[in-house]
Amino acid sequence: MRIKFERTGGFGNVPLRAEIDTAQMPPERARELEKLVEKARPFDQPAQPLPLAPTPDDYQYEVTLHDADRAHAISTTDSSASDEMKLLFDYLGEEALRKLKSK
Amino acid sequence: MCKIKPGICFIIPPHIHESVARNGNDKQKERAYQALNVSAHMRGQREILNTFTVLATTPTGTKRRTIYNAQNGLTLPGKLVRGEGDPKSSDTSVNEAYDGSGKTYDFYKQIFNRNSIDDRGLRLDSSVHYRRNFNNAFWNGQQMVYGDGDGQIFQRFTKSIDVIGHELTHGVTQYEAGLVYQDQPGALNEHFSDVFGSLVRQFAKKQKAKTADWLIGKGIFAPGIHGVALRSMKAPGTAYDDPLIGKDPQPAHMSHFVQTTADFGGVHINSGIPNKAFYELAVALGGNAWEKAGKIWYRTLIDKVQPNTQFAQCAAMTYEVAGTLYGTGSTEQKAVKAAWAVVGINVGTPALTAAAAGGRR
Repeated sequence: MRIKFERTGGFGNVPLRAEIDTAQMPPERARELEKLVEKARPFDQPAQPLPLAPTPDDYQYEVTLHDADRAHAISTTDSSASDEMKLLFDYLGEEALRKLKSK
Repeated sequence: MCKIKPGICFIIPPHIHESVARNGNDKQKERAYQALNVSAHMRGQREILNTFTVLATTPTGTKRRTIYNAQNGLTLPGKLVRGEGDPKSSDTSVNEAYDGSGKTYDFYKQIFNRNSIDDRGLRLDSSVHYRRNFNNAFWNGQQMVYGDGDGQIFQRFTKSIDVIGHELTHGVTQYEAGLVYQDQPGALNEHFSDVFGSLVRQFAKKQKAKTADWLIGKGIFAPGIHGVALRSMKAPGTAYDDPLIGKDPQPAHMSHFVQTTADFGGVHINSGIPNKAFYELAVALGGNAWEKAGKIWYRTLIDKVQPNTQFAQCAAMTYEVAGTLYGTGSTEQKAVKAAWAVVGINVGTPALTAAAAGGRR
């Protein structure tokens, strides 16, 4: 699975952007990510538009997911995401930072 | 959030809950605090709950703080760990949230005679240790929420008192102006939070406008990040420059206004423009920034700003308010005009003053 991840906003507004590919991740972390995807079901999330009422210092996410046979784009905010999606976003954020640091 | 029947919030008078919250056993305390909490939250939803206004809006006139520990989970508010008047905790974040929200309450009360976020004594709720490695702090419409930071980009967000003042001010803005969190109105929402967040820190440290550093989020970057703070009101765009996280993107002039769909239309980016104008005004007027510049901005936020107010309209409103407070053509009003001119916004022309006249009376 390939995931294009962008997180902006938040009090600090330090943007985080990275492309994550489970095929290039250590198997253990890839499995962990896939489990979070199973729980959050991001492919079932509505794609557009961005919810109209972000809370102050909310995160804004723009995420595109590709797996073998489908692609799906999500625009959403942290405050409107389900708990399962929040956990997925947190994990993707950590992976994105790991990628940036390894550059 | 509400584990008890909502009706109970109204049937049992708040002072009973408060008594239980202080004297009951742990389980009773937790329940009583939740009930008080729900009542307090109901008070926030004034448009829905007009019918309950009499029952639910008992002003207390006192400072009431409640700190919760989210224990690195997703559930808010979490476990009650410190109420008003309770002894210090062994947890630094808890004490910082308690002290910072207290200082912010004192600032609003002493300087503007404002009784808490809603001016009716709303209890100040804060949750610390929200999620794991969470790099954010926010106001969720009802309470303040603080992450611990991941130790790679950020440290804990309670470390800087202006962050606490910033988040609480989002509450004030929600109750008063209702600025939409998008594009220019969103950047103004951020701007007012930065202004009063910075003033809370200057008030706490007894600093003059000229000697204050005007930084937002000073000292919350993790060790190794090249930056002094997240934002600089004095010199927007200069707060950090780091190989990992990039450079402070804030403009200091309308000619560099950033058009973007990220960050809800650059609400934390373009706020640099009005931030710089406020700094210019505060320094021009001298003394403590909250005395005159802060007063003009506060009255503008309370009396004039509307949900969709744009930069130029906000500027015209501050000019009008300065005229009302200090006289038409006064030194203060001229200084407001000059401060906005520094960032490329002209006020005091008939057309713009007319546009601002659409503001709330």
